[in-house]
Amino acid sequence: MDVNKLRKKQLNFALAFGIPYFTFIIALYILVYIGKDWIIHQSIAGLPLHYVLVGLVIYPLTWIIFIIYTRAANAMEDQMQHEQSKE
Amino acid sequence: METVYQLPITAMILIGAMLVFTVVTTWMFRVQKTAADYYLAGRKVHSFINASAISSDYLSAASFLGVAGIAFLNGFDGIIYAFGFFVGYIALLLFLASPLRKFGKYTVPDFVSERFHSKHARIWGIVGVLFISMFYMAPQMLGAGKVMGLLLGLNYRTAIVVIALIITLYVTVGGMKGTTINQLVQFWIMFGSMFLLAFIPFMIKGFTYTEITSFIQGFNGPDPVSGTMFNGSAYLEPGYWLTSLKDTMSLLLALMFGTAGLPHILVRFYTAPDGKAARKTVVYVLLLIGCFYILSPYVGHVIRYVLLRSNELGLSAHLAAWLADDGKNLAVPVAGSYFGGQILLGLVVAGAFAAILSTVAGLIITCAGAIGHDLVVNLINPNLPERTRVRTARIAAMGVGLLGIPLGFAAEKMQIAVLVGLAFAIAASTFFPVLVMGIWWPNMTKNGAIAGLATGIIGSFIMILGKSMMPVMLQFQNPGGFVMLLSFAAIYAFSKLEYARCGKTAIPHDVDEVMAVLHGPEH
Repeated sequence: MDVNKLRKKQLNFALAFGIPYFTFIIALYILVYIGKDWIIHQSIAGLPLHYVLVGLVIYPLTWIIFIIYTRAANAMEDQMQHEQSKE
Repeated sequence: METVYQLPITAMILIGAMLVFTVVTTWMFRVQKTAADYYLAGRKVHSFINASAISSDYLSAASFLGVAGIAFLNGFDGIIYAFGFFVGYIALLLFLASPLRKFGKYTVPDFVSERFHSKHARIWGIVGVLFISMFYMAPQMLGAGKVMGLLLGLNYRTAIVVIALIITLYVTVGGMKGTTINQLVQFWIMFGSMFLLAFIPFMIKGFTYTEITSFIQGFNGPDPVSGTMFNGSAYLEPGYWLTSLKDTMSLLLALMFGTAGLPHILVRFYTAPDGKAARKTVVYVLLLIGCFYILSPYVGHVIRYVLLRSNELGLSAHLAAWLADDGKNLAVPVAGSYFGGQILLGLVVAGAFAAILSTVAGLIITCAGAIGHDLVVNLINPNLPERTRVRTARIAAMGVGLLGIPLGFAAEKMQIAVLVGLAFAIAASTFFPVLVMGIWWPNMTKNGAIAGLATGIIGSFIMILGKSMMPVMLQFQNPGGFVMLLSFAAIYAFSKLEYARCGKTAIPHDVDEVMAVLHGPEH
């Protein structure tokens, strides 16, 4: 089994989730601070939009994304194990 | 200011029950046959139990008292702590949890030493563990002295001595297994308290987030307790406390990546049975702490709302006095007393006690590992028999636990959340870059690892303690994000330089085998 191929496959998989997620988080904070004059006048169900985004929505969103990631990453490991046992 | 306060009976019952439980579990796990039993609970901890224990380790005085407190004090800007503490686990999940567990050693210095075959890297690793843990332990002892002292009716120094002695005793005897079981119970006491603190105002009193924010937004006048002017709409806006984007980003990066460099959290992943279980553990932790961090900023805002309407809502004089004196640390106990009287206040006192107990216990185990395992066994006497290793671990735990007393005394004038934020800064700039690069970049060299660790430790030290001597553009409220980037750059540059000088011999000879262990299937 080619270790470098395995490492790159796992790294690419982690980055495929990590880069968009961290970019979203940093962009969200930049948006909230730079676009403050706009965002403070927006609300959802009476709650200011910046509270909805930073204080509430991020949590379930993160849970969903990373439950999917963990299932897929563990499935990838099972597949690796299976392939190795066949070899 | 005079306060009318009696120690609630619930607090005495819960703390008493917790202490009895601690004694029982400590007694049950007093026999530790091997060092792996002592440091890592025999590597057999179930994901959910481990997740509860990790959450308990993680939810320190800063999270239990500080997150709601900082939201009470700084409004929207205070939420960054809850947000950053939560998001911090993602980097750990994506890049470290499973490979670290597969590597299968005891401590973080073990990893850097064995990955690069370098005693110097191990020494820098030990310094990093101790440096981060001391910065983390100081605010816990500060919480013990200030908050527990006030709530249990003890003076600052007595509270620190009493709590340090309790924790030292149970960690020294019980090791990781005893600590894990205790942390499991302590987590649910903390979570239960925070849940009730949010449930009662939201569901029973009808203080919804929407109502609270609209009232605060319209408030512009003197604070009913302190009489100082309070601008509600500024309080709810970004920039009320974190006035520059540079500071906001550096703090956010430190919180986002600091978790993945905290040695007392990283060491817990070695207790999982395998790499897949380590990943599952992080997902459980995300669910548990996520619920906690949604609730705590809300509690901080509720208390601000109650304070602003204190005349109509009947906030008692002694609770108003607590908020005026030390609202940033006492918002949670005030919420407990206001919404649930002596019973809920008792639960909160027990929760604060649990937060301090569990985090300091985790820190002591980690520092004991750095001293007992990394320093004594690996650097001084590698032939130490197993039984002596356990005894060495216990002596190291006792020494570190007692060190909490002078640390607590020294931290008396400082702020809990700020100190914890600085521990995150050091962790983000020390271990996180070295672990990520060491795990995923096969061409990293020994000099790269040492340069990364040294940059993180020395850079954080200079930027935190020598802040006033730095040029203005390099002064940060929290330098974590900035030093972390320097550390990544140092690892890359020094690895490339070493490779250019020595060629392939610069790269550890067994890198392929190590990469196979880290990324290949488990057996």
